[in-house]
Amino acid sequence: MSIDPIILGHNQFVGVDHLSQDRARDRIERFSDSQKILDVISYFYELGGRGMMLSTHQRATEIMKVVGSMPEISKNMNFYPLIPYAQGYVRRANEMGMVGMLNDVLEPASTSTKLKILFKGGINVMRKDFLNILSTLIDVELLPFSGSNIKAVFLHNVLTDLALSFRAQNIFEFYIDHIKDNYGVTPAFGTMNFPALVSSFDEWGFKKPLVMASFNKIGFQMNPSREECERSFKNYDVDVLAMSTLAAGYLKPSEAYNYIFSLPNIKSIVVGISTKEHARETINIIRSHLETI
Amino acid sequence: MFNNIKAGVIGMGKMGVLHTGILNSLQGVEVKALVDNQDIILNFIQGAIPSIKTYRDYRDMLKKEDLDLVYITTPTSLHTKPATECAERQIPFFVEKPLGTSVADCATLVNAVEENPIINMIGYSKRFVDTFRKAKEIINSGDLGNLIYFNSSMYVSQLFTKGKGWRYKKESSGGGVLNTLAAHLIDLLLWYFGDVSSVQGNVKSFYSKDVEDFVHSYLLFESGLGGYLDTSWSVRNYRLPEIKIQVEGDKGMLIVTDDYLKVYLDREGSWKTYYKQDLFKGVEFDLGGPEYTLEDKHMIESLGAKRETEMDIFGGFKVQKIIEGIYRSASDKRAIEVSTL
Repeated sequence: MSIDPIILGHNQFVGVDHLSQDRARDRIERFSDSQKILDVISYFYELGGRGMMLSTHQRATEIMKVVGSMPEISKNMNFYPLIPYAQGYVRRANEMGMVGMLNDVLEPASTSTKLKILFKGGINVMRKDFLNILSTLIDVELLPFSGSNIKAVFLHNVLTDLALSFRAQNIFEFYIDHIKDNYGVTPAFGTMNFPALVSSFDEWGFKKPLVMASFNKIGFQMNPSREECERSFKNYDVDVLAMSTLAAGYLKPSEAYNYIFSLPNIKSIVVGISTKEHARETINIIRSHLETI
Repeated sequence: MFNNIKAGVIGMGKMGVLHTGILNSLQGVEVKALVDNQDIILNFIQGAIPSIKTYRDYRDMLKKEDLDLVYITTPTSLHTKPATECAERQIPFFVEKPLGTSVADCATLVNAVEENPIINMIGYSKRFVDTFRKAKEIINSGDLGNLIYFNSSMYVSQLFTKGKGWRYKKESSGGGVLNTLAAHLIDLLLWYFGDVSSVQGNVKSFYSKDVEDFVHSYLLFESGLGGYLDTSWSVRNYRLPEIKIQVEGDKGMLIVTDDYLKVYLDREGSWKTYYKQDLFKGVEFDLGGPEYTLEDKHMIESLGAKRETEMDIFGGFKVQKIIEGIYRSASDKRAIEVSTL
């Protein structure tokens, strides 16, 4: 399995920012104009970028439409959906309660999904069978990506870590099977608890998992510590997609990537890019490191 | 050190799920039993985690299970009854914020804990956010001099249509954005500045029928410090709940948010900024933010060391009085002395 070495992240487009909410608002304002999103994606593509990660934020459909308007890019770009967009569920649960949220989430299910649910005995049966709920949620989340090149589907860190906290091996197995059987792509996992996840996967016999986790020089969002994460990375056979490599813009790219490429086996990096200058700088630095490997 | 703490959780909404996950991942704790009254949730848990016992009624769980610790993460109006029963049964407990729907709702619980002094905690998790903790350190250091003025806000983009669910019914939530959300901000202000002597407030409902969507209020502390609190869940462009507090002293000032802390001291004549990144330390297991892990660890460690927590229900009761004072001030159109509540 190979994934693109540089993957364009989505946070800047949807107003997620781990440095400050003020900066998040500036970016929401800038990217409320879809042309600006298109500019960043085109420039990333011109520089050779071929991978995009996208959460299923309500803007995902819009962004996929923007990409769809550029035939060459949509043909050659690989997508890495990140599901589900957890904050959306939290907001809806706050607004409508847990049950209302579930009903609302299942609402956009396509007719065929709804028929599938009906054949299985309707929503009341589904309520009794949590794996059915999960499979429907996954299918609904992946609707905006139908017809695109998907290489791997990442389970959001909140869900991965929740299942991990319960040591729910059955949920992981279900997710892996569902993604492989129904989409024919690589099931992958985001996590904030890299050592705990990879050691559990090893124990459960999951071979060479693809994991997205924070790796950066200052240990930001690396639990329980940077040292533990580095140790697990060395000791387990795991493919890593590194995120938060700049610690949310806190580190300068040159110092950040010197650290990243000092690690033994980084396969791929997810980058947040919001301007042309930033895109060029980041991609050139990563390229120069990749070439020396 | 404190092995095999057997925990039970009442109420499997968002916070119940979160605390159950964290407790389960911490060393020395095991979640034995859960309570919820919705089949869809109970079925899900039975399918996903068959090792945990489920109950529909918390009284059955308290009777049948031998628990060392109970987490109460129900809608607000269902906090005080199970908490009171825990106190009467001498079971240490953690209760989510806010403590209750009103001062009267909390009175029985406060009496029960006074009579049965057991270890307890209320979930004002913002105290475990690095930036707010650092701000507390600076305020306590006296570097800002005598405190003169503050302003503060808490906003989130949550409600732009008529809300559904318990949060928007006064009888189950105790109130709107102030009781449900900005209780966090009031707790931080009390933590920073001590006790309040009087409050004034205005409230406005626009999207909600039964509860308020906007609050403007003035708090006067016993120290003489006065300042403003503004909150809403119906303002645009706040993807996450966001607190901002600005404090002015006669020797300097600070601004603190969930993301950063900026300090200006006259004697240094320059700003110092601390980002989350500067203050971050890894936690044993992160689920939904390090502050929740730190919060649950504080509960567990207090229980293990048999000492009181930093934030118990008596502190939660003080927050409740401020909230009630603001509501009363808004309806009576006058300042309310907190001692009269």
